[in-house]
Amino acid sequence: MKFGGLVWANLRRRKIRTLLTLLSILVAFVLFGYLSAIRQALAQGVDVAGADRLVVRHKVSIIQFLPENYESQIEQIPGVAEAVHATWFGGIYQKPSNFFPQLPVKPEEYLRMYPEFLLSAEEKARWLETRTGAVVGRATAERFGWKVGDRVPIQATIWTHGGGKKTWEFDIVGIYDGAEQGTDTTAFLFRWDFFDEARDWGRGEVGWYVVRVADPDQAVAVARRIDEEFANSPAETKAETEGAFVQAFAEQVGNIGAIMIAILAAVFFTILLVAGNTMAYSVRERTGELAVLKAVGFTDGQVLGLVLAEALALASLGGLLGLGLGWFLISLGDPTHGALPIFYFPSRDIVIGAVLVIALGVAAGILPALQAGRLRIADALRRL
Amino acid sequence: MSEAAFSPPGPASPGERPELAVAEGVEKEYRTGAGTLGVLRGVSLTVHEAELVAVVGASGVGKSTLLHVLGALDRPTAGRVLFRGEDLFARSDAELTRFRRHEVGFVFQLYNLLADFSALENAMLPALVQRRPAAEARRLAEEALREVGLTERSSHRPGELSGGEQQRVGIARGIVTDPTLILCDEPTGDLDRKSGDEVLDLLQALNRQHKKTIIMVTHDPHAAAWASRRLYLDKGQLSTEPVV
Repeated sequence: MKFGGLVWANLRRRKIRTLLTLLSILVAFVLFGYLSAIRQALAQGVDVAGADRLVVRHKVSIIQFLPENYESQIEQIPGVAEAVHATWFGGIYQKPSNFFPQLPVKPEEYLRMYPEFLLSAEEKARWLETRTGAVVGRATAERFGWKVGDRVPIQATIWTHGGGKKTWEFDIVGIYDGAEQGTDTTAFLFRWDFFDEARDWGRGEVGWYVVRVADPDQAVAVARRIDEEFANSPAETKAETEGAFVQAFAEQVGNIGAIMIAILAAVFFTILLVAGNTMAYSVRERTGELAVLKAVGFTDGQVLGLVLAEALALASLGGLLGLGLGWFLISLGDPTHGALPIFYFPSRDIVIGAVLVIALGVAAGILPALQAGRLRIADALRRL
Repeated sequence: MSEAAFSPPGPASPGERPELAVAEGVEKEYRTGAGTLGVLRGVSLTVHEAELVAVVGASGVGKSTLLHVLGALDRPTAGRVLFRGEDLFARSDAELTRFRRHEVGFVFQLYNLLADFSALENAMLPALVQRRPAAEARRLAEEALREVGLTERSSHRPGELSGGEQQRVGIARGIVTDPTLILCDEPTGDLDRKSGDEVLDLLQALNRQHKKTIIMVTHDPHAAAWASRRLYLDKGQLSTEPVV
């Protein structure tokens, strides 16, 4: 028997109480994992947004269009390396709940702008050869079981073609992967020239521009120059970094981060009370035993350490199991089957979770530990 | 203040042996809601090496308090306790902890064993606190359990032992580090007569065969008869004669 045995024995003493406390902590950390993954999913792209990319949209709203000829004008602005446009197609595959973004783009320029979209040279060549060709991200391809060679019908909600026809058919010529864990692989990209020629209205108009700046440190200045270039024109622009754009998009439903923190704060405060209560009871009912330990030579510090170690063991066991279980469940994939395509437990949040485990253990155990450390042997023995 | 010392029957008188523990005018007061309560009122006592001394008194007269002071579990309000001539309470709390760890073994009325550990593990505890290697602590605990006649029950937990057996484990825990002084607080107070006598026999054997110095407090004159010297505590005062 070593002192670790004392900690373990104390945890086993009231098995039901320990188990219930462990479960409370475990559930809290599973919830922490899920909220982290959801926050990451809702803010998808913020973390992987290119620091050297700007998004330029209509000043009034992103649903207002910009002229296609802005591209060449933007590329003339000092500090701009390249510009490419994209447009929101907003189509439906089979049913409205099967949401995924579809964008008509210029293949070569777009893939150059987004090097994190990994497409084989063969697939890229096939895309350039096929006017109705589309490349789709791995997540969406797996979601619908699509493979190269499939013909996919998409129902338009905005863009009709051929005199009012809503159904567009695309040939899948490639499936792209993401270079990073957080890279969005849900997009369905098809050729701009095919789209622009076929659509019934709005020819020559695009949704927004993505601009690569030559020097990321100058991104804000370049954005200002772009907006100045089109000031007082019929289609004024709002240029911002891609990260800010994605963040603003994500926060349409509110400040996700603040909401998550508020929920987690409430959960952890409750768990702190539960774990603290368990430790306080545990020390209270072991007053005599702690007094005996001191009588046989335990120092105040050792008794304090013993109780603190017990609290840390309780928090670590429940917390790490919770983080592990959360990681496992999250790795099974998007629980909504499509609404949260980028769904993973960020490693940064796993580290934060581990720190929270330790903080919870210390916070729950420190007061009972101090009480135990200060316990006067004679007083405690007299109370037996 | 009272001075209590007389020669017990036996081959060697205490005066011929070195003094081990000396209390000089020890007072102990407690603050309560109703005011200050004086429990020990100038107790003086000399215990020589290899003595078995019984302090006898009714419940609430301060027997346990005296034992706690002698064992450095509690500081006196006034007076001194000398251990081998050195003032115990001139030491820091950390030094008093070391003193308890190396010099004193405690035996409690309610045994106070760790319920989740075996007899062997309970007996090992003080040796582990002394930072002895686990194997050595185990060997010492096995010897101590053999001394108290519990070798066969070493793997049993307290809940699986009788009261007398639990107290013998308590004694094994008290002697495992070979302390100079063993302090027993009502060691038979929770036992039937037969089990109590076995425990007293054991304490007497430790005193006579191993020359252990033992101070035992008890309310029971029968238990006190095992001691080589009896002192009587009443109203915070110690005397050599029972209070009528």
